[in-house]
Amino acid sequence: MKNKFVYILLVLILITSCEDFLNPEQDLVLPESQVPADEVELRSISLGLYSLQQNLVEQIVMLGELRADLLLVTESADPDLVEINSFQISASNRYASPSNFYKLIAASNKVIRIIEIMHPEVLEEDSPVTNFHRMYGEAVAMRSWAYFYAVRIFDEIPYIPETLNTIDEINEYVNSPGSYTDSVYINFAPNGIDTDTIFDSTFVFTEKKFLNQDQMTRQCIKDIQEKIRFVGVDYSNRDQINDVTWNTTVWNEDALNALLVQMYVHIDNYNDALDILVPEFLRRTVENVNDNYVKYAIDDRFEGSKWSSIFTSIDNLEHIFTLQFQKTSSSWQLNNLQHYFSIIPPNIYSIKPSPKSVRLWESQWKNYSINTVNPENAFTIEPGTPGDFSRGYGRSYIYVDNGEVLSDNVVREMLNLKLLGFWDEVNDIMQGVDTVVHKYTIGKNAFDKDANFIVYRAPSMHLYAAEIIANRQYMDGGSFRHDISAAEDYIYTGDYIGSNDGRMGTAGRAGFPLRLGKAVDREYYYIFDPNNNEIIGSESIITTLEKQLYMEDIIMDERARELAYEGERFYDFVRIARRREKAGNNGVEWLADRISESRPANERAAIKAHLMDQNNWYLPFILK
Amino acid sequence: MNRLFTIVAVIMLTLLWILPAHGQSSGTLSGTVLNDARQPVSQVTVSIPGSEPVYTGADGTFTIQRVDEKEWLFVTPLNKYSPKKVLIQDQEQITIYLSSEDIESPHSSVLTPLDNAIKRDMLSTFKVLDPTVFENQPYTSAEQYIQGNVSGAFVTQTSGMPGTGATVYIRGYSSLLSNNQPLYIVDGVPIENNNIYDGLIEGGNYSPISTIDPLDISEITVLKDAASTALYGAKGANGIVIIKTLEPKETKTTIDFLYRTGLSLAPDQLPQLDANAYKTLANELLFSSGIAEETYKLQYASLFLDPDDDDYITYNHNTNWQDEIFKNAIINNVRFSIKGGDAIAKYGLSVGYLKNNGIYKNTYYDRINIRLVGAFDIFPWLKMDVATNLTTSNSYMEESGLSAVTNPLFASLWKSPMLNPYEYDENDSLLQIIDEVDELGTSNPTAIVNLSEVRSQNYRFIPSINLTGDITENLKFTSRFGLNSNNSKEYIFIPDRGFDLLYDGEVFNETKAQNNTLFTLYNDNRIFYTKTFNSVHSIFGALGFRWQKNQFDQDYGLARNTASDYYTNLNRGENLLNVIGGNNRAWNWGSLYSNLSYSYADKYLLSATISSDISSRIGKNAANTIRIGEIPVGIFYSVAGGWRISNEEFFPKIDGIEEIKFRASYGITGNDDVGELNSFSHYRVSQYRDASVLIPGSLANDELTFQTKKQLNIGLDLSALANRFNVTANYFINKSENVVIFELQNSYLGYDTYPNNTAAFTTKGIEAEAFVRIVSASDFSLDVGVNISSYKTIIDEITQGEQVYDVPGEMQIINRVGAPINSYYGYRFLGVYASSQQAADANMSSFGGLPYRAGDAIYENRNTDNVIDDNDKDLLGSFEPDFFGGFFLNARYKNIYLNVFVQGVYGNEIYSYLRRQNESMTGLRNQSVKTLQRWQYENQQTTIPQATWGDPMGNATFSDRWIEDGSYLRLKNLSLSYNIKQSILGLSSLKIYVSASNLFTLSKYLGYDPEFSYSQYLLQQGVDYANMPLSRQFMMGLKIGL
Repeated sequence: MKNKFVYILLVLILITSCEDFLNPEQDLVLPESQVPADEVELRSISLGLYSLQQNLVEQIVMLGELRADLLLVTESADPDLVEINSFQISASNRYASPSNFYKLIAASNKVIRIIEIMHPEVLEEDSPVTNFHRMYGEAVAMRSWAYFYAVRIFDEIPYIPETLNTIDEINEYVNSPGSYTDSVYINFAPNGIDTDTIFDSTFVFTEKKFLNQDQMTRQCIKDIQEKIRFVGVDYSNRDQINDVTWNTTVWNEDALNALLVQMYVHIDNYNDALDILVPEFLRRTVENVNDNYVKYAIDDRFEGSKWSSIFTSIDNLEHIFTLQFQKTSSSWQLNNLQHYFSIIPPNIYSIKPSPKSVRLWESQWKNYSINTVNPENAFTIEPGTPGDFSRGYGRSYIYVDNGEVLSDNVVREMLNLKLLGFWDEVNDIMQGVDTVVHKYTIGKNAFDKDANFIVYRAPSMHLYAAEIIANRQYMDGGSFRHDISAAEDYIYTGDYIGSNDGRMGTAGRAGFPLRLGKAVDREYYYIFDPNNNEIIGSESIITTLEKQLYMEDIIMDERARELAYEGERFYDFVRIARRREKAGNNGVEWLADRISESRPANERAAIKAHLMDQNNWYLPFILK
Repeated sequence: MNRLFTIVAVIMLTLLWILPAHGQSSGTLSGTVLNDARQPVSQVTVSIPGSEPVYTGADGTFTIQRVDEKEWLFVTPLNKYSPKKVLIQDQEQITIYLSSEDIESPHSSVLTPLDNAIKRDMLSTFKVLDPTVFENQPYTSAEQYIQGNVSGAFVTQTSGMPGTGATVYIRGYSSLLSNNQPLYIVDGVPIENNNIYDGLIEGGNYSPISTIDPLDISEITVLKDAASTALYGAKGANGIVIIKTLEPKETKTTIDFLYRTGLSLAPDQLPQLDANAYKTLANELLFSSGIAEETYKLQYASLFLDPDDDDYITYNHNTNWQDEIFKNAIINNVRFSIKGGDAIAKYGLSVGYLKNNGIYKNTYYDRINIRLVGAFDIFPWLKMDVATNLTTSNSYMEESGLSAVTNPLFASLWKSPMLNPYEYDENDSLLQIIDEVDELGTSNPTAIVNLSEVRSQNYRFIPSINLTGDITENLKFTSRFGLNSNNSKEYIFIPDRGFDLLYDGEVFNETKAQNNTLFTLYNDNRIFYTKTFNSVHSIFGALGFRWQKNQFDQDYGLARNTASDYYTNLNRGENLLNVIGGNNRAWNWGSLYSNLSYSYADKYLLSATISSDISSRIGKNAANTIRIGEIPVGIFYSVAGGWRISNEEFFPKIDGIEEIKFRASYGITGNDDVGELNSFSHYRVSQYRDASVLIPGSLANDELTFQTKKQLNIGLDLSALANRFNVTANYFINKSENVVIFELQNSYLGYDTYPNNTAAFTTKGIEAEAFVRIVSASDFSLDVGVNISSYKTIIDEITQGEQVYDVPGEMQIINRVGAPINSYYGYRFLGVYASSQQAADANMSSFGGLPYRAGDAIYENRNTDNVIDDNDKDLLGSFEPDFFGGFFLNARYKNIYLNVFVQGVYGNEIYSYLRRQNESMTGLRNQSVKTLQRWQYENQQTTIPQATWGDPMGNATFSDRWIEDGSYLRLKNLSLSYNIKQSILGLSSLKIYVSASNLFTLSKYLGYDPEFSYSQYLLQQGVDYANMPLSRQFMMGLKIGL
């Protein structure tokens, strides 16, 4: 009997040694309950936000460009791309859902919560700055960026500032009663003085926490101002690998300022935007005028073909924030941008530049004979180099004939023939020729699929400055004045910084000269033949409003050239159309005209009619 | 729950007390013992405990002194007949029929989760399979044998690829998205399904028990309802298959040697277009493409060659590519086993080798299997059983399914017949060098079967030790320790030569390797108590607990673009394209279980089982559990009752009726396969730049709980004429609840889906089995048996009323409340627009917005909006058959045995992805001869749409055009054997046989074979992804006993 109990005891001992039986370690995941306060782990979580941000790139580019005037779909385009291009986006379209934005927002919220709990000092005003403060700032910045970019697409979206970690929290959020009340509404005036702050307790939305574009933008600005003291851990020496490009591929102070500028401009808060722009992006260049390597200067460092280097590498001088993709043996971070644009197999050439897009580069010529007395008599005396040739043909787009890239000489010949009006010869050359976007293919093997996505770079900020200057009033000698003329300097000459300093403006550095003197200094502007660039007429611009609107058109054209296919085009239209509409200047029709004009003739009327309804500018695929 | 147990306990105690006590009896009992041919049997020992045993005389009669009023009579024949035990009550005369040994005896024991029970006392629905069949039939994995032999078990052979096993569904399912395969228990150790994670090889499929040599199996029992399966609680919902191997029962040394060999025949081929017809089709397609004629004539110049062109000879063939991949294949199997020992120690050892060639060239499966078992009496009160199984297998296969570049079947159907497998030199001499892929595309089938390497190696080690001890006379304990270590290595090399490029052309050759390891530790301990009171009250009680720890690890690597096809190692790829990765999962399970059984007077049977389970997979706040401390515990149970009405005194005494028994059981079993990462919030690894980063995982559900299956079974067992006639019939209702689905979340919440137990479905069915020994003579016997089952599964609940799933193969499946489970979801094909006028009159447009033209498909416009889109989709049938079953005929004349086995299914629908690919006419692939009937001219009446490049109108989209009736009736096996069970030629036994499998199949199915199962995923059942078809096999074998 004794033996029996020994054996039974032995069995019992064997079976009772099961530690952590119900929580076995899963090597590939980190339970949230085990997230340590350790900086290295938090960095991994913080950097995870960029991995999620990468998922948004295609959506931003496709929705931002295919709905505007610079791109058209080809016969190879899949139905989703066709839907976007024709504004008939279905719920099943792979770019229709805000899901990826909210995954990034939810992940940002988690980082924010973890740091707030584990390192509450980040909320203290005078605590010594640590990397926890910086990671906290990164997360808030990322969340604000995601909200802002999402609200531009969906118009009215939920603002969820806290982590919804469990289904209970989600249900509580979804089912909780009440509505969002916005008691303070600010209507920014161009002069910065007549800004209208309305305390309106009746400003109630029917759906709780759904904010419209203005509300969300202001909420995000508020979040940034209230929560962020510092942003951006210095990753440059990460893992003892000295790589300064790291800091341009994560949120940094300049990127945060760029976001603020973008948001301020979106709600027409020009003064606050300029407060950031001038010291951060514009004055910086003035103060370092003799330094060849100063950041964000629009100068000859990127003139001509040098410009294309910004699409092949991370550049600390031009790039403010670039989301890097890389296909290497250790990290397969890919996107389909090259895949959709390039004509080289296996890429599928689903999207091509619109004729308007190409014309914007090809219709600028160097020298004109100007007749200021009788503008109709102005004429071109010396054909120069079209814009993209200054940057090196094939940088923004290329011509392709049956899979072969048309040579530089053939294209020049074609343009010259066009200038001379030899249309039969032009048509012979262009028979069966396609245009191909090349921005995301520069320096890429046909299979790479890892084009970087530039979130912010200097010219965008300079063009925002031009936009602000064109629209802003300022007080001078007791009266409001405009400085519309100066806006043009940001584009062509760089004269806003100072004369003879070698800076050339965004268009200037690409070889585009000032078009026949500053248009806004005159009372007319020239009308060019869109095909051969001949001056074929002029139109008067006399009033300040006319000049402002004309200036906006010039800025839009320059944004089209400089920032083409980078994902901002449709939002540029929306921003300016909203501004014009608010001021009673037919913004809706302006947008509908500009976009529909770029489409094939048989689609124009339908597109215009569709866009005349402002609701159709936004995607309706967010559940309320 | 408490109430339920109280009721059961009260009933049992009441029965114990109120049933009449038994008085002393001093009478005698006279009787006659007859065999199943009603002939008297002499020399049969008849005994009553406490009384002198007697023997039957020449006339089969006996008279024995009785001791008690109610007592058991033990009838023990010498040979040829099975022993029997009969409760005698007040009768003075009795006739006892003995059943032949070769008929399943209800008095023998059956392997159950609680070791052994008497078959006739089972309250569960079960089936005991005869393992000797494995000698005659070329099953490489034991579960294949269940097909057609077990009612209620819907079994589908995976494919003709040797070693891949079968998919088994016992009375339906317990989940929509996770494991539905039964729990296999081998020598007491539950075998976790190692097929739960995707393998590297497309269409590769591994049975959890493929490494068990079926010839080693001594006993195999299939348990179907909760009365038995509830004992395994959270693992029991899919039914249980219990296997015992090489059981050393006897001390006599027996040595067996078996050799068998056979031939698998290449299948009947599908008729494809010849070279001329192919060229015509290709021309039509290119013309429809919109590509300029001069462009496509330049791009596809080989279609337009003249006899004087240099390459003309290369394209002047009419190759039947199916001949290039198929071959007849040899099977060889040898096995040696020895059993023996003495009263203290018994042993069994077997060594087996199987090589089973596949019907694709250069494919085979080989397996070396070593099994050692022993039974030792350590002390008079303690016994130990050990079993060790070591198996290594190699499978040289080919990829199947969606892998268009490497699937030899697709390549052989699609490759242009104009081409030849081998190259020509500049003098037009044919070389023995396999030809490269030209501009017409499609891998060279000859290259696939000769140059690629697709192999899987598996190593499995399953040792177990079982201690059984007597604590008191009636109280015993057992303690079992088991280990299951399975390591599988998969390796693929896809060469450059003869293969299409991979990954959009970036990769010309590729090496892939993966290493999977599953390691399971298992321990099961129980005490059990048996006691019989006053002859008529029998009690069995068991209490035990078990735990199981599982660890799964996976590592893989992909290397691409090695320097040449000679460099096939992982470290030879282009650095930039290398990929490495891995996976890891751990899950544990434990349960405390108990069974209490009671029988009274051989008439009333009761049983109750409870299992309280814990699992690491469920959430910490799992719903529908009870909490012990902080631990959620799932409660699974069953209650069962049986009434042997034939033993009632009021039951008319019908001569020959052995038994009529009604059974009923109800219980809840579980399925804990709800994923390892779904119940807790976590971060997972991602990448940004060169940094490994963490991003939030999916939305966790800490209330995620066991999937459950409520099972009601009502059964009838009828046996007559010394068991020469047996019928078992069952009606069952299985209600699966708490089934996990992934609910779509509002997009703004930051998560795509939420795992939740929010689906439910019900399977209702009937099943019946019958066995008749028509002739029973000493030299001749003739048996027939039949089983038939019918069940249907209907969705009861699912989030939002329906869920649609995109399934590989460009198709959709829908689960909608009130509809059959996993219904195909697509358009209804009504024909082809014969003329432009007809198309114009219809005024319909496609989902892409284009108007249909003459020659395009007509789809049913269900919502009458004249646009064919998602709103026009309909339910198109389901993989679940209306009924299925099997039939056998066994005849014996002296030592010659003939076995015929027919099996079939009826009323299931198949989605033929293969035929869709073979008739869609959208590119330059060769197609079926059926495409000769395609629409080609105005007013042509046909059901095959026109050929269109890229199919812009969706003429070949998923519709009922590709759904076929999957019914078939198959002569599964026909065998003839000569079997001498006594000494001959110095041998103790001799068996020689020939057999044929899959000899013929009646089916309307248009593919190679109507039976296939691409994977174990429920969503992929019924889809023909072009697996290797099943083949006709012919075997001959010799087994000798030394």
